This record gives sequence, C-alpha cells and structure tokens, in this order.
Amino acid sequence: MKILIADDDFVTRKILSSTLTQEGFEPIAVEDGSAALKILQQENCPKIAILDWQMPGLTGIEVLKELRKCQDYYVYCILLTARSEAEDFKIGFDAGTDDFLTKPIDTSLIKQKLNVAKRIIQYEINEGQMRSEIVKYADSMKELAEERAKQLVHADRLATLGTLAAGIAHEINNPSTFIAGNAQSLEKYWEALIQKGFFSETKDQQVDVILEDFPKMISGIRSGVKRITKIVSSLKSYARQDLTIKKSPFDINEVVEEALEICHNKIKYNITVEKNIPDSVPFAFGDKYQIEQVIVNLITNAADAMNGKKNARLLISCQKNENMVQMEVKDSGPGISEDIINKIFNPFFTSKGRQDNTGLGLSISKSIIEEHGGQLNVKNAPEGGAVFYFSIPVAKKSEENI
Amino acid sequence: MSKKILIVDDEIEIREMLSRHFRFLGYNTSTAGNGEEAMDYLGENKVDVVITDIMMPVMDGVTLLKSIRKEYPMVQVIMITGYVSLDNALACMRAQASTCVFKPLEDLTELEKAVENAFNTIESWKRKFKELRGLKISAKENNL
Repeated sequence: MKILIADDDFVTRKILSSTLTQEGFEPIAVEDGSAALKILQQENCPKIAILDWQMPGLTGIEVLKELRKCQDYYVYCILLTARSEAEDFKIGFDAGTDDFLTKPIDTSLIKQKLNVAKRIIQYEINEGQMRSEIVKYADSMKELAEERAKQLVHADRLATLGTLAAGIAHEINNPSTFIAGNAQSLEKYWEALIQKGFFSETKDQQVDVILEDFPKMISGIRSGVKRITKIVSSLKSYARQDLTIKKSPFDINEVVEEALEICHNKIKYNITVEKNIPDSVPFAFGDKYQIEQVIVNLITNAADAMNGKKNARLLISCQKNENMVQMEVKDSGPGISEDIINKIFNPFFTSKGRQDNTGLGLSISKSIIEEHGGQLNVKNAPEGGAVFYFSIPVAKKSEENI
Repeated sequence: MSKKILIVDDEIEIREMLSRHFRFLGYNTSTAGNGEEAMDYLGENKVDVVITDIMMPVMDGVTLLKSIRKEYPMVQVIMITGYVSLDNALACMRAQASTCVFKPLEDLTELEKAVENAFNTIESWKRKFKELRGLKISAKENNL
C-alpha cells in the first residue's frame, strides 16, 4: 500500500520512510505541500498521507482543506506537528485530518496509527467497489427500463392495430356485400338471357369464348368474395376486444382450422401442414378465442423457425389423456438451443427482430394455458425441430349442450 | 297487386344492388338513405316489406323498426346488419323485426327467403281479414 509523506525536513522524511518500509508499506516522499496535493489529486494516488503542518508551498492545513473538497475518494490523513495545544488539535481536525503525529516522532505508535489508517482505507475500498457495482447495476437497469419502454410502445401499437382490425373488418363487409350481390344478379341476368335465346348460334369465336367464360368469371368473383368474408371473419374473431374470459365447451378441431386460416399467408409458401386430430378427441373446456390465440402464436413461431427452409413440415396433433386434451405443435426447424430454452417463456424475450413481434407471445400463451389449468412446455424432437405441447381440460358431458 | 319493397341503407351501392336484384325477381322497389327518409316515404306510399340496415345516420334501423311497428303495423321489416352480435340480434327480435340477416350477404338466397316469408305473412293476414269481411256481410244478410 502506498503512503505519501510530505515534510520539508530531510531527517523526518528518512525516518518515516524507513519505518513505513519496515511495516510493509510503499512510501512516496515529497518536500512541500503543493507537490503533495498534486500527487493526491491524481488517479490511483496513495490513500494514506502523512502531512507536515509547516511546509513550503502549501501548509498541511491548506492541503487538507483542498483535499477534503474532493468527494470521489478518501485519503486518510495524519497531520505531523510539533504543536500540541488543544487549540492546534481543533484546527487540525476541523481542516480534515484523521489523526495526529507529534514531533519528535514516537515510532512505537506509528504501527498502530497506520493500522487504523489501513482499516479505514480498506473499508473505503470495499465500499467503493460496492458503490461502483451498484452504479453499474443501476445503469444496466436503466438500459433495461428503456428497452422495455420501447417494447411496450411497440406492443401497444400492435394492440391498437388489433382494435382497429375489428373496425376495418366491418368496413370491408359492406363492399363485400354489394360485390357478392351484384355478382349473383349478374349470374341471374345471364341465365335469363341464355334461356330467352339471346345468344343464337353464331360462328363468331369471340362470342363462343364469352359464352363459355362469363359464368366461370362470375363464379370466380363469388368464390373470391366468399374467401374475403372468411378471412375477415377470422380476423374479426381473433381481434375481438372483449377481454373477459368466457369458458365453454368447444371443438378443438374447429379452433385449429380457424387458426390455420388466420396464419394461411405465413404457411402457404413452403410449409406442409399435417393435422392429426382424431374424432375420439372430445370437446375441450375453455375460452375458445384464447386457445385460438395460443395456437396461432405457436403456428406463427413454427413458421418463423422454418422460414426459407425446404420441405418444411408442421405437424399439429391432438389426443385425449385422461381428463385432459393434449395438443402438440411440431416443426421441422432448427429446434431451440439449450442456452435459451429456459428463457423463451419470459416476457419480452425474443430471438426475432423487433419489426413484427413483441416478444410477449409465448409468455402470454403460457399464462393463458395456466389459467385454463394446464401447462405449456417445449422440448426438442430427437429428429430435429421444436415441439410445443400443452393440455387443457376436457369438457364435462353435462356441459356439452350445442 | 304488386309487391312493394322499400330498401333502406346509407350505402348507395348496397341500395342499388338490392333494388336491382329484387326488381329482377319481380318485386316493385324503392330506396331510402336513412330512417327519416324511410318514414317520409312510408307516409306517402304503400309499402309491404322494408329491408333496412341498422347502422345509419339521422335515424338508425332499430328506431325505424320501432316507428314502423307503431305506425304501420302491417309492414314487415327485415333487418340487415354488419355488426354480427347476439345483442344486435336480440334487439331486432325484441323490437319485433320479421327477421335479421347478417352482412356480408355473400348469397342473397337467405334474404330472398326472408322476403318471401314476409310476404307470406302479409298474405295470411290479408286472407284472414277477407274471411272476416265475408262473415260480416253474411251476418248482415242474415240479420245477425
């Protein structure tokens, strides 16, 4: 440990230096107050200083007063002086000294005084370490809070979109209505024209093409509108704003079908979907829209995991196990690495980009299933890919009244 | 006697589309853009069946329905709506609509059937009144 000795007397410096070295310290000696202050204001300066009162440059008192203005670290100071009046001690302590060494120096007490200094300084060092750790922790918490705030804003935006979706869905219904209605009328008008013999035998190729294509086109328009309606209806039910949980018996097969419809766009390109839900699987009991939300979440994650992969396969299977309905969603993606498999259900944890997800999906899915009395878990399949599985209660026979 | 339908919806394309369709089926049709216009029309013209949307400005469909039930009890009212909910359907039933049909009307068959049923109801009431008028005459004739 370094100790600063500041005294203009050569002999004093010599005595102190050798005593300190004997005690295992590393003495640094200077002749005047200004030099002493300069050293004590540097980084990694000695944390113990023995200062003579009377010195050229700055006196010991002046050095002390200046030193004590610094709040970042502590230097244990011992004031060296020949004075011994109570008044002198008062001045010394007020200026900021921790202890006194009176001249002529009694070397027998130096060891004890330095032990005191060591004790204090060691405590200071520990405190300092703790302090800097706390600061680091506070900084990382602040960063985390900022991160979460951003995620919340993002989640809120997506939630608003969900709210708007219901209104937008309704808006789409009106034009769908008159497109479908007009198409149906066209069909009827056309049939009437045909029946009334409006189109007599002609050798005109174009007319023949029209006669053949017209009904097909109308049919195409009508089936197009039907699909729009189905998509809009799935969207509406998915985005419904009614947040109170309403539990009732429901057909899990129907829910899976609707979920697949909602996710259709994500899975149509490269993913083969295999659904294995035997008729023996009974109705489940729960909030069908919430369970649908969970299944949509799992399908979406599976699709993302298999993004761009050839021969991607998604397997959704269901079975009855005692009084629970068990469901598995299995993908042929890379699986989930060991170091994150325990974190994926944490809120805000995500391995995908911020763009179109909040990181909330799995943690919300987990709480939905838990609220239903089941568990949502994940494991890696031996042949590769991740398997998410959960169970929810079977509806009691008495509750099944359709 | 021609069968008259009044079509009420704030969206012109829907009014025209329904009007077209039912005219082709042989009904006589007219249109109105909101409940108030509809009531004005009913004040001046004889109408058998009203097809009306629920969400409209000025006067909405349910209010219109209640007014018609009060002032023109013989008129049958069919509600069409995009707001597919139990509450909506119940409101229609409670206010004594003939029936309600949900948008989007992909297939107009359901609406066509509803209109047919509405006219059948009117016909059956008319027959009853005719019967009663016939009885009255015979009672008078027999000095009862």
